[in-house]
Amino acid sequence: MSPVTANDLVKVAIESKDIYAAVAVHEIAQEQDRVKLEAIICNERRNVLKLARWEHTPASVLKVLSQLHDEAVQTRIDKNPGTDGATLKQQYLEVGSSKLIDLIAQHSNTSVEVLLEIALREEDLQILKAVCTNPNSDDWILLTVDRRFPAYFDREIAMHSNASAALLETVYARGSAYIKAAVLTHTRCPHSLLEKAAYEKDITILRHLAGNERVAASALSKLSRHSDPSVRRVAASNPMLCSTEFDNLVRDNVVAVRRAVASRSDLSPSLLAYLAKDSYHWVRLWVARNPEMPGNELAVLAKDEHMDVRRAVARNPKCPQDLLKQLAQDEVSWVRAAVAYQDNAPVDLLMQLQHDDDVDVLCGVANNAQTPQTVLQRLSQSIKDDIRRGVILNSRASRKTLLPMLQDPYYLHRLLLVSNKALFDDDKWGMHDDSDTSVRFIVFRWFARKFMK
Amino acid sequence: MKILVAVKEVAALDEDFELRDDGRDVDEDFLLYDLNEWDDFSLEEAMRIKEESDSDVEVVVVSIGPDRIEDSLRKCLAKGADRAIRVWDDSMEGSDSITIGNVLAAVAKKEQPNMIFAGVQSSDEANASTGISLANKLGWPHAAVVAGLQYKANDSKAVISRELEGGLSQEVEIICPSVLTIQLGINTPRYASLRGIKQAAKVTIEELSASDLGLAEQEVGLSSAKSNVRRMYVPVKGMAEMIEGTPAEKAAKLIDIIKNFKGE
Repeated sequence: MSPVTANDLVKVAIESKDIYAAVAVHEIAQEQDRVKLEAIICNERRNVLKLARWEHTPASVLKVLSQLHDEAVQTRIDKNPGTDGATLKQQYLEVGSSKLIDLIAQHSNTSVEVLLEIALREEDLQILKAVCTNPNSDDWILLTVDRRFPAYFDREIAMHSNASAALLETVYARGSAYIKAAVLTHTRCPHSLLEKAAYEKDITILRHLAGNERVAASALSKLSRHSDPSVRRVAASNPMLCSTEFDNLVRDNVVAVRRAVASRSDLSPSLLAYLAKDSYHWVRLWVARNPEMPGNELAVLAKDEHMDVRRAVARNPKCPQDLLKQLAQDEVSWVRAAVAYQDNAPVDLLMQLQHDDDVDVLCGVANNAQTPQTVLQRLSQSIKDDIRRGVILNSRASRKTLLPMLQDPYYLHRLLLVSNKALFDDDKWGMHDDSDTSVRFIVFRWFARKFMK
Repeated sequence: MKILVAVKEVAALDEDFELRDDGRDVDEDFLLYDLNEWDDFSLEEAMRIKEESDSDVEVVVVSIGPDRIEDSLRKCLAKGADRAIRVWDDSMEGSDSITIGNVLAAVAKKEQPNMIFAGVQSSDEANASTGISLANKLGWPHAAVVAGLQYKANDSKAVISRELEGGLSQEVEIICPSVLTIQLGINTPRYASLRGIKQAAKVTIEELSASDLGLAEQEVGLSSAKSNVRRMYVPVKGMAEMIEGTPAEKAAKLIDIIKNFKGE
């Protein structure tokens, strides 16, 4: 029987003396029990080192480990993405080594307050660079660093999402073509810079300008006719490009440009039909995936000499069933696999494909929500891991289908079953003493989170 | 028919490791232990012969090391090995790979197997000498880096294929019993079933000391070692250069480097 309360779960974890169970329930344990769990967790230094590095160790445990004052442990905690802002702040206040401050400056959970302290006090350029690349640094921090070391971190500021329009203008004015290009792709790039950049001659700058969705329509149209193909290619991908430019782009003599325009989702049926006859298969591949592709053109593409194009037809969400039936007979298994993965594949086709001898095709059948349970049950006994995993990942696999898979020899499969909604709590609890540490951890964590809710 | 499979629990380096105070090895706290990857393949090859045979084939795994290596031996039992032997006493600490080969030879004399498999090498020490020194001590034929094996239980000869330089393969006939060191990729090792793991947890692992094998103290351990580690250190890093800059700048620098290499 699975535990009914959080306390029951914590008691099982304490009795097991298993560090992974202890770590998983630490957050929900009451004070007295936490002490017992921490005794299990900190029993051996090698376990402490392991947990300080492990990406699944919860923040509450990392906080406990940070109080052990072991430098090797501290280093791992400062690198661990799960360490929270409060622990990092404490670490910052207590440690003096540049190595640890550098790690704190890089950490994505470091608070604005700590980052500002570092920005104000540190002299080490490597650490200040880490501050300028930290996504939590705000505009004030970036400005502070820029005032202390003007132009030194222009690259980092130009790419930082929190850089203000004013700071971006400063950086643009004194920057190289690369820095200007980075500013032009920034979501806060002021319109005045976008207008100014349209008169630049440098190809790198113009190429980046062509990718900005806020660039003026007239300027974008002009860029789509630029003599440099890399500029035309980026403009062809810009969702804001006026459709009147498409006629030229689909006839562009550079493949990369035609490929870019072929990947657009707003092409008219006539342009799709035109691109379907392109000499380059990557262009045909893109339009073959487009749900707006006219049926007669799709039928031609379904017989394309290139298997990737036929596969793209099979992946098209609006691929008619007669074409799917035709492609299910394709000599290339990669094409048949696309049919097997198709959401619209009829049951009779999946019944037919279940007898295929190719692993990719069978994975598709196992993954497909339309596949009958009897077929899934048969595939769940496959010796191939990928096929069994397909059954586990199938959104409609029933409890009856999944129950035997709780004994799957591959630990990752058992681990995936822990969060499966078709299984009952008692089914999942059966894995709480699994031989694999990660499975045990996930079971205990799943129950801990359930109780937390 | 009996196949003896020599396995080893190897140490993998954890990140940010520290060296021991004597500077001769990594501090044990920073090591993660697991069954040597090559040994997974040699056990699987033994299991294949056992499962394809009409007559009884016993697969016995043997390893030399302290208590903790029992985890690796149980893993082998869970995959279907019939018995597991752990050889250890404190006098064996510091044994080099030749000595390990001698100890395994003593186990082989006791067990009288028809074939012996070992991994080509261990991932932590990479001496690739244990299997070969074992064969030498026994005076048995041996073949190293076996990438393919045609052998049925009780055959008097085995045909093996070996990987050579330049993509060449060599087919060799070898008289049995022999010692084969098995290469990665020769088969697809199985996962242990949960049932197998539970059953393996109950099995008693046979324990042998040096004296149980008729070996004197001076024949094992540091005193018998023909080689010993003087120091372990992290060599000075090479001349790698991080490419810095905006994405476009990095791409341009990368193109320059490629052009430079191509002599353009």
